[in-house]
Amino acid sequence: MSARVVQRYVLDKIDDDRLRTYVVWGPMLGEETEADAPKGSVFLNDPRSSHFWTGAHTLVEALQDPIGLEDEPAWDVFLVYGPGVQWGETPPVPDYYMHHGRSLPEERHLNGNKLFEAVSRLLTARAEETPAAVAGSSK
Amino acid sequence: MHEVSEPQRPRSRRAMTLTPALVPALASALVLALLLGPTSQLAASDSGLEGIWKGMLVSKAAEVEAEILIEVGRTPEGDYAGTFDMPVQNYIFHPLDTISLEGSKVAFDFYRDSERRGKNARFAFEGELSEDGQKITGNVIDGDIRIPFHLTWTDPPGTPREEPTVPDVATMSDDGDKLRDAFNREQDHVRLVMTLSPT
Repeated sequence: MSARVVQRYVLDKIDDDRLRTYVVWGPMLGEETEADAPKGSVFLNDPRSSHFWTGAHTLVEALQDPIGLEDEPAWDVFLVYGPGVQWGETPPVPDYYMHHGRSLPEERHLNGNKLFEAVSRLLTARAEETPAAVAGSSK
Repeated sequence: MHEVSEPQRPRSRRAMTLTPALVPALASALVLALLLGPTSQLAASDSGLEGIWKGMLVSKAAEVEAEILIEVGRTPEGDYAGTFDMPVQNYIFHPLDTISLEGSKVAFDFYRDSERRGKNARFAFEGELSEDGQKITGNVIDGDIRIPFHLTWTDPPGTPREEPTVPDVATMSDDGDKLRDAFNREQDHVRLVMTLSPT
């Protein structure tokens, strides 16, 4: 259901090729397998999206720190990064994040409108910083 | 520039195209009619609900929403028969048990096991058909919970469904190597990373 919220409120509404989404599917509930991944990826279908499967919790554990999540892996989180941010030894701190059902602030609970605004803000900021570079790159 | 118009619902009654997908629903409706006798005849004189209806269940706008689809046709005897889809819950062509239209009052229901209410729980749609016959709005009754829904008529019953495209999924090492590579390769973009369960 979260994937559809992202599709409807972010990808369907933002027609901009400067946006990329990376969807990590994995065993959040414990019993999912790689064969289940298409059951989820079908709900988020956009040429700007890439889909990955991880069978372990290593990655989502590494994503805990950047959003201040202490005692649970960072499943069902939505992390937004502006241009220029790089992933080094550890995942970077996002410019904005939302979550679904995690022990994080309630005001960061996934809401399609808020996520749309956060992504739009970063796209707008980038356009203002580098107007010449951006010209012609939009779809 | 071409104007694209919304599909308009035909006002006249159409014969239902019998697709393989509707067979279980039709069989279900026929069995129901045989079991319950004449009282089970459901608004057979009115074509008002025939068609494919697409819309949403909205528990909380922009947060908890699900796309739904209801397809209603008629049995050869003229009774309504139909199915309910909610793809995110893997409900596809789930038979509707009863379908009725009285005046502008619309009702559908189906039975399904519920985590909250146990086996064979009843889920009922209660709604209102708009004057132009193009929309239904109302609530789904799930025990003591009411969830608003809205539906819009899109196509005649039996219209082939569009097959969804399933994007490829790349297998990563445990530390997320491919994600990190893509993230850094596209560092001049605004990037949204999400971690989800596929089920």
